[in-house]
Amino acid sequence: MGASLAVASDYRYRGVSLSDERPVVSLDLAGDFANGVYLGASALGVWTAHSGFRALGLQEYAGYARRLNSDLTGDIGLTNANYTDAYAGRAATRNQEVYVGLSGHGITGRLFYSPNYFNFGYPTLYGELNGVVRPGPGWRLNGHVGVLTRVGGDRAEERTNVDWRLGVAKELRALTLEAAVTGTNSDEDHDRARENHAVVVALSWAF
Amino acid sequence: MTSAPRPAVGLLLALALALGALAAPASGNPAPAPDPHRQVLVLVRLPPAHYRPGAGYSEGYGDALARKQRQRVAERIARSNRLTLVEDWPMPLIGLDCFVMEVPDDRSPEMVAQLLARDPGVEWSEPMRLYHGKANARSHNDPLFLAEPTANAWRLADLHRLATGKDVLVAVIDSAIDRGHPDLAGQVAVSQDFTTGPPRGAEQHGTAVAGIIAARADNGLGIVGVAPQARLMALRACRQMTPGASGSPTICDSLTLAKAITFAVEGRAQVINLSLAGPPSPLLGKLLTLATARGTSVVGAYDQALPGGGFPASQPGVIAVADETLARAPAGVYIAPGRDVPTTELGGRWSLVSGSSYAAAQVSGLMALARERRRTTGGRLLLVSAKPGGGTVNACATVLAAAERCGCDCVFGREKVAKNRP
Repeated sequence: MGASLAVASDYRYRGVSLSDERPVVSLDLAGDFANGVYLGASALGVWTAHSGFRALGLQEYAGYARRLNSDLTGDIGLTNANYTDAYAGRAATRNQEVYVGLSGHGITGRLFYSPNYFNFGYPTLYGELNGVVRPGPGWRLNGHVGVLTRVGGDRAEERTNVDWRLGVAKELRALTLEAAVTGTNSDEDHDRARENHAVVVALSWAF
Repeated sequence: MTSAPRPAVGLLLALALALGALAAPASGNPAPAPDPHRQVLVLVRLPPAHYRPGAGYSEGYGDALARKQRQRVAERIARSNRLTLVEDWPMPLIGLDCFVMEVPDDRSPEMVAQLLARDPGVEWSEPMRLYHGKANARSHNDPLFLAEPTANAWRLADLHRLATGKDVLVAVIDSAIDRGHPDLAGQVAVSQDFTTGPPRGAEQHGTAVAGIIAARADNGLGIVGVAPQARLMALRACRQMTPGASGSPTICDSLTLAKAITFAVEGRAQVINLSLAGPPSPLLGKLLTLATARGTSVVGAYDQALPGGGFPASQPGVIAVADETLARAPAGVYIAPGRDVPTTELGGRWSLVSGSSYAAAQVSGLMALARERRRTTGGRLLLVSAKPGGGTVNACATVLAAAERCGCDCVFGREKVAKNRP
């Protein structure tokens, strides 16, 4: 088992701030087993603008990953996330997804399916591509692009949201410092107008 | 427009500044360098990479979390086996994480590796092994060094670990040496001109022979002499017929040679190089007999066009040396590299030379190395060759024989090593 504690200047989920652009802290517990099974949980807290520090949400996940050959790894799993009314949507909600992924040569592609995305009443598919390069010892450059689309419900309101992120991280022993620019074409931030791109800084400590 | 700075961002920046302090190595005495002979490799199955949604910036934090878990496994293994965890190196290509652990002195790495293999969390374990590059272990920084035939044939750089001819006095009885050549600067201890006529400047043959014997090593220039720390006696007994003309013949006479040999013997030269050949001379023969009787190594160039290889090669006690063009070496004649040898040239330059003169110079340098190994001034030195009584010189065996160590320490091909008295 492993754990990490992280603080970040914002909590952006697929380009959208769930923390109302407020700083967050997260505690992560993870178990990665040699047979490929993994599970974990993440507890989030947010420094709100008017109510001090509050719990933001709890996220659990479980999955199974397997090396398909020396280059490719397959991954399948499910996630469950519960958010309190401290999140940007102002009402407690949840999101459950199943996912399947394929990774190799520093590139990962995944497809997520949610039967009821954030209780909005429609299912979604989210596809993402992530890439990582290591330009030097302890350094990591991350790139991400994702596309969220409805696959059911009221098709009249159908729209496709794209989010992206570019980040640089420096690992120093058990500490990781990361800065990222992230954004989305979504003009909807849970019924509130928000900036659609941001610079986020995060520091995590694994223990 | 980006997110406005907030107090928590300031906190993050402060933490970031603290990173430097945390990442800086601890002050105090540096830890002793790990000894690979006391280490084992412990291979642990690496969990496959996977999605980790806990952090908002996935693919980022996951690495540290996974690494921490693997480290914890390694710490357990190390603790339960009384080992010290040194480092780890994940190898996703083969799905393994390789941990390096140090074994305490009271147990052997082999035994510990066997023990670790029984741990259910360990795929396998093996002692750390050392591997050696098969290129020449040593070299010199002189740019033409690797072009020298002796660099490979005699493994000269390795020989120089045994000896460099330090302070051995080598008399070069020849034409005038270019003492100002950058590869010879400071190598000449004594200089004397025994020729008649007006003094001349440096000459080709003597300069080339001197470079082969004692050109400076590791000066970043030109070549390396066989005995780069030998001291030269530059005894001019010969003259170049046409000064400055490339390939112009070099001529000596009995008297100038007799004077130079006498000077060398009186000056306690330990090696005398005579890269020349001519008819026998009773006078010179007597002087050379005296020199060899005193333990001086006298080396002469063998000329296959002259009866008996010419004088002084034919003189008993003189080491007769030919280059590789001699198809079959007669008894008592030694073969040394003498074709296309880079050496010092007039005007601070370098050029290629060929001939038994230069093969003899190689052997003179070798005898200087052997003399350094034999610290006592007396006693003859043995020249070791592939077959009894001559043939291709075994340089390493010659140097080791001088130190009275077994010649079998040398592994130069499969040649049979024999010791012979010249």
